Amino acid sequence: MDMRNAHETLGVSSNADAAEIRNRYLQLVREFPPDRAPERFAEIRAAYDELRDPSVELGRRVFTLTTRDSLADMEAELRGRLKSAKLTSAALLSLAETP
Amino acid sequence: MAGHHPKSAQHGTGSDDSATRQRTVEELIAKGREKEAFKQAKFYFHREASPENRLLVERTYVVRLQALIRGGMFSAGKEVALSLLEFGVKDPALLQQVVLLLPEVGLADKALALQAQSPSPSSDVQDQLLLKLADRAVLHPEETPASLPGVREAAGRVRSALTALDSDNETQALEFLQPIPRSSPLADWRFFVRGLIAFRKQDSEQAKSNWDRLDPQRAAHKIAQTLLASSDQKPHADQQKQLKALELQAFGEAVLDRLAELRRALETSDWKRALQVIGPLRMTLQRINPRDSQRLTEIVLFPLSTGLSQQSLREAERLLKEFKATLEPLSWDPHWNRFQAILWEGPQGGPRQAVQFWRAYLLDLEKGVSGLPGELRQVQALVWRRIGVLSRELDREPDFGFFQDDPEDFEEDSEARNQVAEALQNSLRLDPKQRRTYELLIECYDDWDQPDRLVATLEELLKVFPDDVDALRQLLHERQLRDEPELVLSYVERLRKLRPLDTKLAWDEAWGRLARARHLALAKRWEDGRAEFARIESSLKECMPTYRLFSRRAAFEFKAGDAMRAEVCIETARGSLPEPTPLFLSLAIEAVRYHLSKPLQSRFNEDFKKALTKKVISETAGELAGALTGYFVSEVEYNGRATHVKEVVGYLRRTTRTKYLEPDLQHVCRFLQLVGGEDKLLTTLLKRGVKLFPSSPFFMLTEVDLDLRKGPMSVRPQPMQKKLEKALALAEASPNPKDAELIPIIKQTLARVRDVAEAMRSSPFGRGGMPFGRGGMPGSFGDMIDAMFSRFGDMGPDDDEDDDGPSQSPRRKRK
Repeated sequence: MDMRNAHETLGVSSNADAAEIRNRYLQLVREFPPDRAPERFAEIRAAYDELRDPSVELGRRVFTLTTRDSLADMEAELRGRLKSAKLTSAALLSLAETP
Repeated sequence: MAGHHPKSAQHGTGSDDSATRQRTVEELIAKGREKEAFKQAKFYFHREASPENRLLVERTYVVRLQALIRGGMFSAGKEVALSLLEFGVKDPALLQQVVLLLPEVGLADKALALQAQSPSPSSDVQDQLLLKLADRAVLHPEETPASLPGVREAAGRVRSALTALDSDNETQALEFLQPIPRSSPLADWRFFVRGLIAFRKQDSEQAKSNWDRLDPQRAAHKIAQTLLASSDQKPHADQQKQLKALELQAFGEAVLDRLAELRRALETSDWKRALQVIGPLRMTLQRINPRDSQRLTEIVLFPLSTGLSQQSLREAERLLKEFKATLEPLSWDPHWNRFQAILWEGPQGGPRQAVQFWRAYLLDLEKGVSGLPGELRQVQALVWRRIGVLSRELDREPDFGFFQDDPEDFEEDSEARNQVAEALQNSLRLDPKQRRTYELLIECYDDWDQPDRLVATLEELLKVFPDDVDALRQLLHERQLRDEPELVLSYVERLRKLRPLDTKLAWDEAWGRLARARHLALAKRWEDGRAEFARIESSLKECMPTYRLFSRRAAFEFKAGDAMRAEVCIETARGSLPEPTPLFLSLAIEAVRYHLSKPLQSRFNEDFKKALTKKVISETAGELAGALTGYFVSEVEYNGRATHVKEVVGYLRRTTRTKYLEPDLQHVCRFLQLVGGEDKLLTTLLKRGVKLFPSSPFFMLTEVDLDLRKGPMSVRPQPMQKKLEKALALAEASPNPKDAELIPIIKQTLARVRDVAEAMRSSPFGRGGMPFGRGGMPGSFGDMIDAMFSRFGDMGPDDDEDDDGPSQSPRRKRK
């Protein structure tokens, strides 16, 4: 199971923190206890084990090329940097004379 | 001179009328060719210095000046303006325009002077000039005419306020602005500075309310609009220009439009364009923030890998080379070895090449890299594990001659296996807390039938994870196979602490105590042995049929020399069965295992043979098959086992018309499946099972399994699939938990059958060709069957009373 599937199996966002993951896991276990839904429980358990194991995230970084970053993110970040850029008064005034 | 004139001018004739000349010049202006229009007008004027031609020159001067100001070419603009002033402006309307343009090229004094010379000065232009001069005084205070001391003073205040903001002193900035009256031509700048303070605090509302009051013709408005362009997620064309201006000030050069262009190139797989953009973009990002250059690489790698996988090998290699030369390598993959390893792991790659790149990457790591996403040892351990996993894939490559390109590509099993084990062990040395690595190594040793190494690895795992239930169970099972009751009982104890409600542990304990009793008997420790039996009878007798317990007790007592007690045990056992055949089999087996005398062994064997001749019944068939299955699964060898199997099979052959009970028939089919070589009998009994027990998924599943075991020629995917789908539906609907336990096995078998069907469809050999890929059939039959047996082995304490059939760990797949 890859990381994305694990998040999907538990129904949490990929940015969910440990507490959120644990709460969701406990909720699902109540919903699908091992005696009544052994298969679903096994899936849930495997996904939970995966998400709480930090080496899994490290493995994802090392062995896959996917990244949560994107050019759009970079653009947005640079735009943000631009917005919060504190130009000097000289630079600011020069904007009045740009073509 | 004529040679310098525009082409159109050379063709101009003295007969051109005024309207034609004007039209020619205006057309050039309309096309944005102001410079050409200017030259053309000058040409006309040189030929004929008429008032109309002069007006044309003045007009083109102004247009040219406007164009240069728009383009930010103020020096050139100043030269043109001075030339115009030298030429003189006769047209009153143009003169007013020139007055307003002169401050913008740094000629404020000339503007005032020209305005003063104006025969009919417009008050409107006068006001506009004042505002222009006020803005100019803020932007270029040195140009402020001495005749405007008020403007100079107020502009100085605005500049001081902005300088105060440079040092974040907002209070002082506002204090500087305070004395500027609302009527001042600098009043606009007060709103600008207040808006700027709000904007920097990200108070958009306040910024907007101040900046909305700015005059759109003024310099402050232009600056404000440029700053606001950064807030717009989708800036329009004008804002793009403003954004670029802002980027130039903030970053030194424009980068956003190039990022957007790269995004578009990647989205459309335009690799040529992407390469063109990446090179300069990377340099820019490095200047802005070196981390962004790394981010760029990280972001580009995934679409690049997808793109490469869609190219021919040659084209992919060429593209890869170009990208490697253009992108900055990740600091933690300086020679692209990790990237290439991942590429080779892809669908069009191969594990052998991937392993080579991973090994090269390990060397990179040893030499030292920066920016690793985790600790070095952890990453090294993961890479070693990866090498182990890939090497294992190589080890599993199918050995079908006509599918192999080059048989020498495949190394000897032992060598490949050594590489797998070595890689996984290296991984564990670097990071002994990787449970998954232990599990992989355990799976390997299990697959390779190397029980000693398997046990050693399980014990290593337990040192790190002492509460690992799976490892404890598997070790327990391994100890059962090795007939080591002391260790079995110690694992039972540990497991009981971890899983106090696990009822199967009682069964394991019973097995351990029976085995310990036999060991004690062989060591002549009679009382200790009897104590074990007493404990089973007092608390564990539910774990096995009475006859099996008492047959062993009888063997024990014979061994101890107490024949009378032994006979009592035999009588007790007999009383628990409808007929004694299974008891005699059990006695015959245990007599051998307890090393009883030859006469006793012969007696029980004779009793067994005689009993077998009686009329067959369901219970006896089931019990005989179940008992022998137990010995098989536990890998218990004893002299005479083959004979017993033969005799039991002979008995079962007579049961094809017996009115079976469902559990008995299941035991029988399972036993026949295990011993093998009785396909005809098994087929008949399975058919009978399907007929007698149509709601049982077991018989349908076993029918498919039997066909699969016969090899590829017997695979008929469609009927198999149909049967399995029916079995799955039955298992899912069944209230019997034993049926529910078959669900994963049915699903696994179904998946394999579907894979086979798919492979057959795409195989050039068609049906009967070689539809099996890596890790596929026929090697996978064994896995599946093992999985099924391990499931059967699990049927311990509840309704499957095989005392010699210990529960199998989920990991256990011993062939």
